[in-house]
Amino acid sequence: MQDKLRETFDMIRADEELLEKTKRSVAEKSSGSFPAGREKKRGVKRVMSIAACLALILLGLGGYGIYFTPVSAVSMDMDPSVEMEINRFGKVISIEGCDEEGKELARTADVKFMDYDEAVSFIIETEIIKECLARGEEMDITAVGEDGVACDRMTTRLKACTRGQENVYCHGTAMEKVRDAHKHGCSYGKYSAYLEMKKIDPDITVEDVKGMTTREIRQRCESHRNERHDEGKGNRGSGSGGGFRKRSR
Amino acid sequence: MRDEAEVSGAIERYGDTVKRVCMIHLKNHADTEDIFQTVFLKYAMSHVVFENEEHRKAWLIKVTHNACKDMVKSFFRSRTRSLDEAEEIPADMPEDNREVLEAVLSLPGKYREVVYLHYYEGYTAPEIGRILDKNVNTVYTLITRSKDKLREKLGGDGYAG
Repeated sequence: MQDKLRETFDMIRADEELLEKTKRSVAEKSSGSFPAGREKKRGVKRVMSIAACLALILLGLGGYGIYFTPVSAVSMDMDPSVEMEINRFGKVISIEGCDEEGKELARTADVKFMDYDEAVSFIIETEIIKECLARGEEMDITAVGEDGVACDRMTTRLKACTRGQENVYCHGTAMEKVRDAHKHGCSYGKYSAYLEMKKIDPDITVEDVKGMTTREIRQRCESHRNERHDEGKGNRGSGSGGGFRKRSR
Repeated sequence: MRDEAEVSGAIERYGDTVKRVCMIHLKNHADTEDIFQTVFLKYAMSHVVFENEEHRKAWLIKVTHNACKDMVKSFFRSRTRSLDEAEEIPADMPEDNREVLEAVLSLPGKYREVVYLHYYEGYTAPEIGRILDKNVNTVYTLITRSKDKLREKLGGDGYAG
C-alpha cells in the first residue's frame, strides 16, 4: 500500500499553465516595477513598519494575558484522572492530575499548547490509558464550555476525535454549573455527574460520591432513570420516593 | 531577493511538491493557484540561505503548509466552499489510485499531512515535527493512527513496515 500511495501521489503534478502563470505573477510582483517615487514610499513604509511593530508589542503583552486565560476545560475521568484548562483559541494551557496516577500522567503528557481534541487523542494513546481501556475500564470525558453553545461545540469535537474508542464517553456542561467543583475536591467531570445524580436524589452529598468513579456515578443515574421509567409504566401514580441507597458509614 | 532564474528553477523543481501539499489541504484549484503564487513570491522575497536542496524543499513545504492553514482558517466560507467543491483529482487517474487518493483526502487534515510527508516524502517524525511545528510524540501518534484509518478505509492492505 505504501507503494500504491507513492504511485498515486506521483500522479499529482502542477500543470504547465499553473507553473507559467506563477512565474509571470512572481516576476511582476517582485521585479520592482513599482510606480515612480519608490524612495519616498520606502520612507513611509519604514515609519509604518516601526509603528506596526510598537503596536504589535503592546498587543503582544495584552495578547500574552489573553492567551493564558482559561475559558473552558476538559476533564478526563478514569483512574487516572486529569483536567486540562483551555484558552479561547482552543489550546491547552495547563494540565493537572486529579489523583496520584493522574498527577504522574499530567507530568509526562506533553500536551500544552495542543488543540484540546488533539491533546485528548494523545492522552488516550498513552500506555497507561490504553492498558486501562484494554482492561475494560471506562473513561468519562467532560467538556466544560463557557456557555451552552461552546459546550456543544466542544462535545461534538471530542466525540469526533474519540470515535471508534470503546469505553470512552463524552459529555458537556457549562462552566457556571461546575464552578464549585474544585472547592469540593472534585474534577469538573465528577462534579457534573454528581449534579446529575443530585437531581434524582436531592439528599446525596459530594462526600457520598467521592469514592465512586465518574462513570459509575453516571451509570447509577442512568439505571435510576430507567427504573423510574419502568415504575412509571407499570405503576402509575405510585409516587414512590426512590433515591440512591447511600453507603453506610 | 532572489533572481528570476533561481525562482523559475524552484518553481519547476518544486511545483509538484507545492501542488501536492495544496491538494491535501485545499482540494480546489482556485485556492491552489493563490497559494502557489503566495509561496513562490515568499520564496523570491526571502533572504533564507539554504544549506542544501533538502533544506530548500522542507522550507517550501513548511511555507505552503502555513499558507494553506491561514487560508482555511481565515475564511470559514472558503473552508465550506472547499468541502462543497469537487476534489481536484486528475480525471485520467486510474480507479485504484483514485480510491487511494480519496481515502487520504477523506482523513482529517492533521492525518492527511503526516500521510503525505511520511509515506510519500519519506520524512521522519522529528523532521515532520519541525516542518509542522508539532511535538514529535504527537507526530508518532498521528502516523500510527493515520495508518490504522487508511487500513480501515482501504480494506486492510496495510503498509509495508
